[in-house]
Amino acid sequence: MTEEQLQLLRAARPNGQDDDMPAVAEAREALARAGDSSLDWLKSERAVDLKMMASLGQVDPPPDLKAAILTAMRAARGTAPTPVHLLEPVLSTVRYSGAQTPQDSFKNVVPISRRRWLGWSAGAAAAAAFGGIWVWRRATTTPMANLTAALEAITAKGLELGLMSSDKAAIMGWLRERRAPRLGEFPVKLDNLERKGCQIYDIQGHSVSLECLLLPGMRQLHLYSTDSSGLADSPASGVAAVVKSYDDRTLATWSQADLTLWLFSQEKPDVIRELLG
Amino acid sequence: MPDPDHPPLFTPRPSSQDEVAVQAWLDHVIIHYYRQLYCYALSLTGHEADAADITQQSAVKFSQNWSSIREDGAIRAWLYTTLYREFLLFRRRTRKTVEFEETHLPVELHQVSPQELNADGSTAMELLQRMDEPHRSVLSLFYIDDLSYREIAEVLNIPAGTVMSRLSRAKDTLRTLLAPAL
Repeated sequence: MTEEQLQLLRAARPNGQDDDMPAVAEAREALARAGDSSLDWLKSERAVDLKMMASLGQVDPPPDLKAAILTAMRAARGTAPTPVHLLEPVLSTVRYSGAQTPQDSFKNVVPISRRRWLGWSAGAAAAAAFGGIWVWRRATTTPMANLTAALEAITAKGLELGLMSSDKAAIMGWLRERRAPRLGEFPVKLDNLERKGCQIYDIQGHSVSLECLLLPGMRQLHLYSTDSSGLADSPASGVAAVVKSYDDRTLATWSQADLTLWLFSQEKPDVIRELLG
Repeated sequence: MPDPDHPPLFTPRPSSQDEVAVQAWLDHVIIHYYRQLYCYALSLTGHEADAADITQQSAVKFSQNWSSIREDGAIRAWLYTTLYREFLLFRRRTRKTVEFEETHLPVELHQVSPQELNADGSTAMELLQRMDEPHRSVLSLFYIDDLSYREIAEVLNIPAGTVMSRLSRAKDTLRTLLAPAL
């Protein structure tokens, strides 16, 4: 039996799908001629293969991966899913602005943003270099739904915090140092919650802060805030939060002082209304 | 009862004019494949978040380019090919990290028994992680989605003979790692 036949037998699928291929059948015959121990070797080889296959079949993806993928697919195709509208231009400019290291800037970014963002940046820089027109992408009238969609995608994908801390002052300081928007005065019940940390994003030129809050039992709330002046349709300040529930999630949006806020959670709407007073 | 997370393929491809049907079909295909794609990405990257990113990016590319795939039977290979290319791009960005990990994960770290394999998918994944990338990428495809060596050659764009020799060497390594109970 040749080395090539041996390799072919090892490359044949263990459930026998390839055994009818003439070359495989010929290799099996050659193996049989070599004696029972050779056949035992193949049997043992395939037993290990089947165990590996069964074992790898038990690897579970992250629980929210499916939803994140389907959302990203719709965003990429520009089709609007319920409950939020995900638009490619939104996702394509989501990035961290609170990165601690160069590598951090590539983590936890909606994946489709990476190369496109760099591509646009390079294109804009090239245009400027050749005396072309520099387009400043900050949209002063970004529809709120665009940011909502991006934040929904970020939240669904899973978060990496720029600062992990339960210390309110430390979080405020971290955001202040980075000139990030931050809520000076939380609704009282929200303010009493434990903190987990914070992060800053740059979404279509809008600086957006995230503060991660914890309800008892490590139930997470994600509070995003940005300057209202850049949004076309931010809620009027002082008006009660709009609380909407979809699937297993609840989103509350409102404005306070000069900020527009989004609170994402998996709590019941009543729990969120109670927290916001 | 069918597993809702792993629906059988294939629902016929709809007309590209029917946006709602196209979206439903794209969802259907990806729901069918995303677990295996993620598993393959995890075997390549060794990192859950990176694997999820690469899987998502591959699915997004599929949603944008599905109409260029001429036959439904070619979708699986297209998805794995795209995912592997995404991995190569990812590796280029994080090359230092990957090289560091590879050079610090010698094959002879410790051995496990085949009996341990079914208990937890992470053990099998760990075994794959101990191989170098060319062998890991081939063996993962062989195990994760039951691809034939010819399909693997197509996915990785390498000759079928190379796939066979890499599979053989990878299995030698696997045998070493599983040696105590063999």
